[in-house]
Amino acid sequence: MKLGFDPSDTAEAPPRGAMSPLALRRPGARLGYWTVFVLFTVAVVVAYIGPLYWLLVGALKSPKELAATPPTLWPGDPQWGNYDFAWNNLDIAASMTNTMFYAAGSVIVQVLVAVTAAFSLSYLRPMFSKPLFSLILVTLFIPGVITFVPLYATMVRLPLPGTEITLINSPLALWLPAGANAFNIFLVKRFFDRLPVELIQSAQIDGASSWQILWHVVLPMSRPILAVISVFAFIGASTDFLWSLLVLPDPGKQPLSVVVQRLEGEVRLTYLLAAMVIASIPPVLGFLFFQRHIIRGMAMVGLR
Amino acid sequence: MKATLLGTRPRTAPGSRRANDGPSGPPGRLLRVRRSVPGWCYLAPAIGLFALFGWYPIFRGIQMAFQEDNLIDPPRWIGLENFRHMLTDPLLAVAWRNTIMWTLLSLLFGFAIPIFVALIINELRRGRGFFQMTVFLPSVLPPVVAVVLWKWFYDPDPDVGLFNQALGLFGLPAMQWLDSATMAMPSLVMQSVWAGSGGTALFYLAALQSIPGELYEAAEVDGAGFFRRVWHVTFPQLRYVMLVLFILDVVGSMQVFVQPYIMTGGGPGDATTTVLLLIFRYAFQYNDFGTAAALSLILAVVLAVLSAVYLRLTRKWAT
Repeated sequence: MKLGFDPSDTAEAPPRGAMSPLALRRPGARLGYWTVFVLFTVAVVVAYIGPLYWLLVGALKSPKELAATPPTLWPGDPQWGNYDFAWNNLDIAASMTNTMFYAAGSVIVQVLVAVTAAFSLSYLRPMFSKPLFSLILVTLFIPGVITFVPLYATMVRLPLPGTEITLINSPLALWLPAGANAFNIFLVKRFFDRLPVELIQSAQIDGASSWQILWHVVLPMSRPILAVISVFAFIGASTDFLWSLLVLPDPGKQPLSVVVQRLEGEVRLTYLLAAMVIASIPPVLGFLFFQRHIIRGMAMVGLR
Repeated sequence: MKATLLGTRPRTAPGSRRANDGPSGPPGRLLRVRRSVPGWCYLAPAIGLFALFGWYPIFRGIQMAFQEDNLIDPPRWIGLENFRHMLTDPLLAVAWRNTIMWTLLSLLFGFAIPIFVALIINELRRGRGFFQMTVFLPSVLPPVVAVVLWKWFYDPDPDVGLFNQALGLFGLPAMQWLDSATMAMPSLVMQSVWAGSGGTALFYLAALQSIPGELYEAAEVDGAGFFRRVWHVTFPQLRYVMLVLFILDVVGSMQVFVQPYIMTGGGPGDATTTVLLLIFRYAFQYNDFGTAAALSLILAVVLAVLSAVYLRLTRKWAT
């Protein structure tokens, strides 16, 4: 994989695509362009937004209206009480707190580990840091499936000799493995490698400690990459299902995803749909607020 | 951490420290070790986490495959017994067949759609931001929500499931979707294409936007029409991304879990039991972590070999 990224990269539109800007002025071409534009818009909106719209609308219907044939496009009498019920009677409020707690911790751990490791690999370069970086990158190429079962075994009993520590039912079971993320370290190191060396040198000459350099020189310039890592960490943590299901068997500690799956088939469909809408709010809001960083992050991964 | 870290003396540039180290030999090496200490301190969190949760599980996974382990009693070495046990399971062949079927269907439905979507978004003169957001939105939903949502759409009751309601509007008979052995797998695949294609499209879009406009202008001067420009300029430029995303798609598809786990539980019958579902059952239903690890190991080896062969075969087209 060629992973190319230049900190000055932007997701700006290129001057043109395959379509000729000149030819577009001809009436025939314009008609063709607008036909494709309209058809494409309709298709994309129906295919990608349609299911989400149906979820939102369904969560506002009464059970009777939900079963109406033909279905109504907008609820005749919006049942906002569905949300009230899901929030208060289905443990959704508590599991929302859990989700946010796990997501926040996951973001902090991932950023902390990636920044300190990348700073050392990029600037301090202690002995053996090169082979260590290779060992970290190797984990990217190991299919996730091989570590899934043994990682669970690690959670049941940490492989620290002479101890009997279990991380089952502990938020650490979500945070710590999330911190061992080679891709984060790779992205941040790459970003650090391209920051202007002169600033760091002059800070060194002024007698700044490495901690001061990291905190006052490197981090202020690194907001873009920190935003990318944080938003991916947040969305990943707030949508996780399988791992949370395994390591958090205590229902009181489970995040939204696990609770939604547990409620499925157990409660009235309209309540379930309302719970699903609520469960979607954290990642969707994170996405909408940090959309630019996500698009840029994907360009950064830059498979070209 | 205090000021002694890397400020002991000014450096000319990061990485040029070695040049300042003076004569090598015991005193120089001691100095280097001492000056490496702060760097190691910064790496300590990463080393600790990777040791426990990155490197150790790989080793443990290989070890477990040759042990009897229920995570309660101490593990016991049993040689190839786990593999033998696994091979006697009639579900194994079914699970592999289903996994390969899933992968082929995913490629069939899912590979071309993101390219097509990205191509059109890239040609549009307006609304790119809107389309990027729209197609990516399903990828942001919690997978559980996306899967449960579609499970509802697939409900066989013509008064409940959206798809059967839609068929009803056109006077068509209701279909069984997830309850039919033949339709269950394609239904799951459609859900996964819906949830995943937008994210993939954004990768293609990033690649498309890096194609220099001059290439199109040159082709235009040479008299190439729109479709020939797409064929002779756009596709060759996308080739590398396509090759990489293809194998990532295959590797990801072979590890499918959430869709069958939530929507069908592997059924009807065993029609959607995949390899990962089988691993999950060995481990978390039968407490047979050894056999689960053995099957994981085999799947991982298959994926590694597949990727290696693929990369070798495609190397000469990739550049």
